[in-house]
Amino acid sequence: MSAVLELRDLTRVHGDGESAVHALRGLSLTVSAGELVAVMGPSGSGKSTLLTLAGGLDSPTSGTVTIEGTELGGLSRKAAAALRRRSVGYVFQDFNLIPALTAAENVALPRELDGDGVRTARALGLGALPEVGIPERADRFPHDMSGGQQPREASARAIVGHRRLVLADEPTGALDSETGEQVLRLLRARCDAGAAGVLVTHEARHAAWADRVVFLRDGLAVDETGPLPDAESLLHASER
Amino acid sequence: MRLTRGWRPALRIARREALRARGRSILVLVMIGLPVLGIVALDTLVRTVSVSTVEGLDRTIGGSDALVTYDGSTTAVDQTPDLSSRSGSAQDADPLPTPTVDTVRSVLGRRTHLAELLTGQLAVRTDLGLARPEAVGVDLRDPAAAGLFDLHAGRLPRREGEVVVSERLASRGFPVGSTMTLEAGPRLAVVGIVESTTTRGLSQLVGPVGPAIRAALGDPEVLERAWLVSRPGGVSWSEVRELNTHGMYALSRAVVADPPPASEVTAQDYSGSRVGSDQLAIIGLVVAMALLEVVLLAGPAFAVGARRQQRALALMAAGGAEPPHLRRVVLASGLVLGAAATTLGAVAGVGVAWLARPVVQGVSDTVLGPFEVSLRDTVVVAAAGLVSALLAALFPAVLAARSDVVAVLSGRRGETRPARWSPAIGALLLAAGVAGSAYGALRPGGGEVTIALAAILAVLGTVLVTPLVLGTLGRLAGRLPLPARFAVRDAARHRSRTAPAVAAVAATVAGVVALGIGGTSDAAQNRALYTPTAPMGAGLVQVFSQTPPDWTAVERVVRQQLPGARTMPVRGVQEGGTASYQVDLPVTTADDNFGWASNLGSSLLVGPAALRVLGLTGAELARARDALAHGDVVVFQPGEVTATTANLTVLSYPADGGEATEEGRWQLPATLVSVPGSSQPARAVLPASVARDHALPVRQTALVVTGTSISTTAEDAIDEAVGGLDESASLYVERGFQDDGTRVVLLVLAAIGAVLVLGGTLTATFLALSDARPDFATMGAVGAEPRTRRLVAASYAAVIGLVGAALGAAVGFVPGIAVTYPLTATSWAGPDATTSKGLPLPDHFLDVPWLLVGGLVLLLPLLTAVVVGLGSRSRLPMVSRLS
Repeated sequence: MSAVLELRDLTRVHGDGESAVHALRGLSLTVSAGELVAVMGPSGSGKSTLLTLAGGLDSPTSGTVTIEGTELGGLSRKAAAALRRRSVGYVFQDFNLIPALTAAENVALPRELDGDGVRTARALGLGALPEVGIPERADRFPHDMSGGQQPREASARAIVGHRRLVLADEPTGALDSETGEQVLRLLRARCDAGAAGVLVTHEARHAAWADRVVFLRDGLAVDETGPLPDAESLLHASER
Repeated sequence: MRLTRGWRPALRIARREALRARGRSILVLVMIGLPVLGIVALDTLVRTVSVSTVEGLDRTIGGSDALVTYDGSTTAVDQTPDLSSRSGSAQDADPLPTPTVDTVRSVLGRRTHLAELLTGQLAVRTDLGLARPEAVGVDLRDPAAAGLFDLHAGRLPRREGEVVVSERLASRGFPVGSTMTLEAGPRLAVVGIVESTTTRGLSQLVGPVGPAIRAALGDPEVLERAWLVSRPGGVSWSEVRELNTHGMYALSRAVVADPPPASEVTAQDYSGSRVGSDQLAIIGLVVAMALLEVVLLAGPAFAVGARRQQRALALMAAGGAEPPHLRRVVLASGLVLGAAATTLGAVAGVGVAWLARPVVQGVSDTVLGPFEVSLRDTVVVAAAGLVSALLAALFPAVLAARSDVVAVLSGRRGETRPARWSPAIGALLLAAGVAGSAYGALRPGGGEVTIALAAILAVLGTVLVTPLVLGTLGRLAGRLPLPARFAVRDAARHRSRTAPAVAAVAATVAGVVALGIGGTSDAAQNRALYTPTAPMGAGLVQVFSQTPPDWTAVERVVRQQLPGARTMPVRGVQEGGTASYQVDLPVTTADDNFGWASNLGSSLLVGPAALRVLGLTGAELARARDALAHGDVVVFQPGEVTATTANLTVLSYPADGGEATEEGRWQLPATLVSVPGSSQPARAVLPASVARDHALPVRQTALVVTGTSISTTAEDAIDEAVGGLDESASLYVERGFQDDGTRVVLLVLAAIGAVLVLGGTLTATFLALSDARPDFATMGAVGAEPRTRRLVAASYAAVIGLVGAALGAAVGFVPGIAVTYPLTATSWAGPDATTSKGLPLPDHFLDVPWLLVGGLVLLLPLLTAVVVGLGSRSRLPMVSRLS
């Protein structure tokens, strides 16, 4: 399987001098097509920094980020934006839906930003909404949608247009277990269809949906496992 | 105490929030502080420029105790204590004798020191002819005269025959050490340069009252006879009243310092700037509009501030705060920022006024008074500023108290739905505004105030309707490109922030459009009715004094400046004085409107030369020439009448103001001629033979200059030179209708409009951009290019500017068109009046300044959008939302 995301010796230092904070200290990670990697670790371990660097939203202090063979360090802001529109899908913890856009428009936003016409983009948006089970909500604004519908809409935006890399930052953090499971099922399906995925999570039962789990501590990958037991058994294990 | 307790935490939060959100705080400080600064500075300057009786006492009465003046009254007079108003009384007995030094001493005592002060005009020979400066006869070395003039160079006169002159007169060839010759022959030595402490730039000479000056002034030339009085104990109010019984007025230091009770004052005070109800209404409307504008401009900043505090307010509510507590937090920010802004504005206004004094003195002839800050006015202006800040914070405060606590705490950015009643009331106000405008337009006798009031109602209506308009636009934005769609929808969602800004733009544009239409329509009327004073391109030397100038010297001046020019004297019957000459038709005529008469120095002109400058052309000119040649009086056609004769009447008025007596009345053959326009150029042109036969006093009344083009430089030079020969003489050059005033008004309106539209648009746009930061972060995360933020910024500016300007223009047209009815009504002109081109007069004029309207409605918002787009940061806040 070909590598979609390659992180090499990533270091990210916020601030300088005595107040410098080392968020990542030489982290390396490769995620291949069809693979979903869960990243776990305590708060401040560098999980979110990893994700922002992987998505090209931030630049590393040192090291390289490569997406589908393209190293982000060599890209202009414009080219990095284009890469995000076409290749990277993001699911945020609080969904970050734009209140001024309807569900269909929010989903189609990356495509519209990429130059698709209003109608074409809308058609794509309308096409993606049934995949997440809310086709009838296409013309609703985010504040008209329920707490269970908003994450689905956000997930649809991350997968629209055949993205090869899906990054999810605790996408189930604020959800009930049923809705959370729907989001993870969608993510898994996307990876099974050939995309690479990175899932940042605190919960082992969510990490169980991944092919492997990377544990971070103080900006370093301290452990890595294969697939965890499936979500169902993990849930039962925790109940016991 | 309870009141303070309730506000204390709110004020603490507001103060800290103001320090935390410095950018927004500075914005509010500028919005509210700048108008306060401007008004306080203006008020202080006006008070400094105007010199009250008390402030100007030393300038008026010098070092004396009182100034007793006599202006020729033959009856007892009355006055206010500060001599701001004076009046004579009806003749009911024998005329009073002219008061003398003895008359004054009979009232004030034998030992009173009197310094004579004569003011008049005298003729001085110059290189060009005669100059007529103002002459003041007073001994400047007398301590009583100290403070009337400042000595700038040389020394004060010590003896008769010595004078000091003002800078302006000195510049006409009378420097220190020179000699001036009076028309009557005596010579005066110029020993110094002085400047009046009251008025600058006058052409004056001052010297002790000796035989030369007394003789040169002569009785008819003395405009006012006065004495500077010095006596121990000063002059009391009862002594002033006694002087009044002798026909004299007195300005007494003691009376000004300690005025008598009102019961002892019988004279009416007409001097005060008593404001009529109409003026009061206009002032009220202007203040209301200014307040509304400030409230609307500052409103968005408070709305954004309130939403930034939404979570804190929700937490307070969760902790037990009631809606009034929450309202207070937002209102307190109005109080804190308003207080800071008005204090800073008021202090800075006083400072600006202090710094501006030299500039104001540079353009003002009146010598400024002492620097005067009115505490009362400053406090009122500052209070108005504070009220506007509180009003600006009121609406966001009400909304903040109504917000859904659970929604806010769960992180949802909900906007409270606007009340349903507000657009309905807005529509009602708009309808009332339109109806009021229509009523004002059609109401007989001028409805400007009604229309202005209606305009305010319409603007208030627009403010209330704006959220509805924005909401509707938001629903219609689906087909727009992403940046525009986002901007329109976001503007619609955040109505509490956007609507005041849009309404501020609308109110500004409405005002500018209404005033612009009024101004250009007025100018259109003036253009249509413009009656030239002389043939196009010709010059006209006019004199407005009773004493004729030295016309030979005037001609010499003109020929010096314009070597190729032809000059043509205009002769007419001398008017004014005790005799009156009238020419009437033996038929009833409509009201006469004389256009050129006053400019030519007489309404009864004499001889055919006058015909050339009266606007007669073609057949009418030929007829008039024939008529004069045949001894007919040429009478200008006053309406649809026919007549072949005219009556010449000579009346005589007694010098003491009694009834006129008819000295003679003759019926003369007459020819009626007409000129286009709404007024006649003169009453009649008499053949020279008629004037001679009836012993009419004919003299040269004006000088027409033709045969060359007169540049503005030559015009200024001639005007200056003839002004030196006679203060009242001036050169007028006919250049057709000059619309500089309207152009300046339109430019000022455009500038004010542009500043306010820009202010409203930029404020709301940048507040919106800062508010939409999380959305930009999301867009950046999903791949928006840097220019997306710029495009959204430009779209915001375009939405606010275009919607506001379009609403404002629509609203402004109504009072604008309505006001042209009372403003440019032509009902006064009579049924036969025509424009200056001979076309029928419309009942009113309407001229829309499309350039101004188009510029404000379309060009300015688009330009602002481009500037905002180029000027806003392109970098998207990538990780702010994610972290």
